[in-house]
Amino acid sequence: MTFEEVYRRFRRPVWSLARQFLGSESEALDATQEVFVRVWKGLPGFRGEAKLSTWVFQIAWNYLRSVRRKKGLQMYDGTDGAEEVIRRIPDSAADPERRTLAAETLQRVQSALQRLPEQQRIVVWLRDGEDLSYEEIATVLDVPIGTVRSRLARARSALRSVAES
Amino acid sequence: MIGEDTRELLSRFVDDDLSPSEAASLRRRMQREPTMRRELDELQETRRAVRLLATRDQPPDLLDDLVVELRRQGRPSPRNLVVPLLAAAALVVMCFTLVLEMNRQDHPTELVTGRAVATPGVFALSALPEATGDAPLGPLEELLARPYPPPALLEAEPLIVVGPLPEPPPR
Repeated sequence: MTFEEVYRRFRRPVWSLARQFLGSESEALDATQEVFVRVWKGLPGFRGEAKLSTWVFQIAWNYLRSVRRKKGLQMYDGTDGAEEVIRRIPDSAADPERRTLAAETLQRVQSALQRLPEQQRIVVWLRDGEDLSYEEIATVLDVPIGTVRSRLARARSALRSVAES
Repeated sequence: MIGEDTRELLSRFVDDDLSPSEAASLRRRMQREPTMRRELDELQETRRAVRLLATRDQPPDLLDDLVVELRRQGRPSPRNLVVPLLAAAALVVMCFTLVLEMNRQDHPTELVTGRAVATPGVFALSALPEATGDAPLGPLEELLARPYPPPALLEAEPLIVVGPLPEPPPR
């Protein structure tokens, strides 16, 4: 697989992850670029022992976590970003999900996400946002699969209670 | 009130992570307990919301400039290493052939900065030998070992240049 194919496939997921965990657009842009430079450098050595998605997300998450650590970010305060994400959702009448999910619910879920502990937020983001399997998430985060299950249940429960309040 | 264990079961249920018997048991419980059914519906709705938040946030076009730049630089793929490796291998073969050829044509067994080793036909480069009795010097090494300037030159009278010589008288 060429770098351009990998880039096209993971452009949006890596960007969304960076937006979710760094907040500002400029920082997310810098981080996404850095992640793809790392992917570009590592791709010739990628032998397919892990799934490509696991490999890319692992690079992305390790880098984002290091950036967050340097910046002293434990939990993003969520004061910006949520509105921006809602604004980016196209106002299309043809979108069925748009009709069923009110913008306020999205806003509440986004705010609740940003208040979750980092380790719960990444699990719910990778599972519900990016559709990674439990095994893949366990590999990306280097934790046992049981930890993924319990963190995911706690994160979903917290999100549900905030979103429905 | 739903406990943490049941929440984890519900969470795994939406991901289809339960065994068939566990899933059937949970379905029966949900029929008896409407709160569990409601909690499951809410769980699925927040799940869809997270999915929507993740997938609708499109990156700016600015990001694509990166790909253009990386394409310009060229990807360091293993295929690109083939040419340098072949060149290096060719160089090694050439050097080896040259040494063999030199030996076959009875070239002097002493290299400029080397000395012949005991096994005939094999050369080994070594450091410049010192001027000791057991290691005869080659012509170039002998020249280099000489003191400079030569002592005779140091003892010679210095030349005094007083200016241009006068013209000889006309005959």
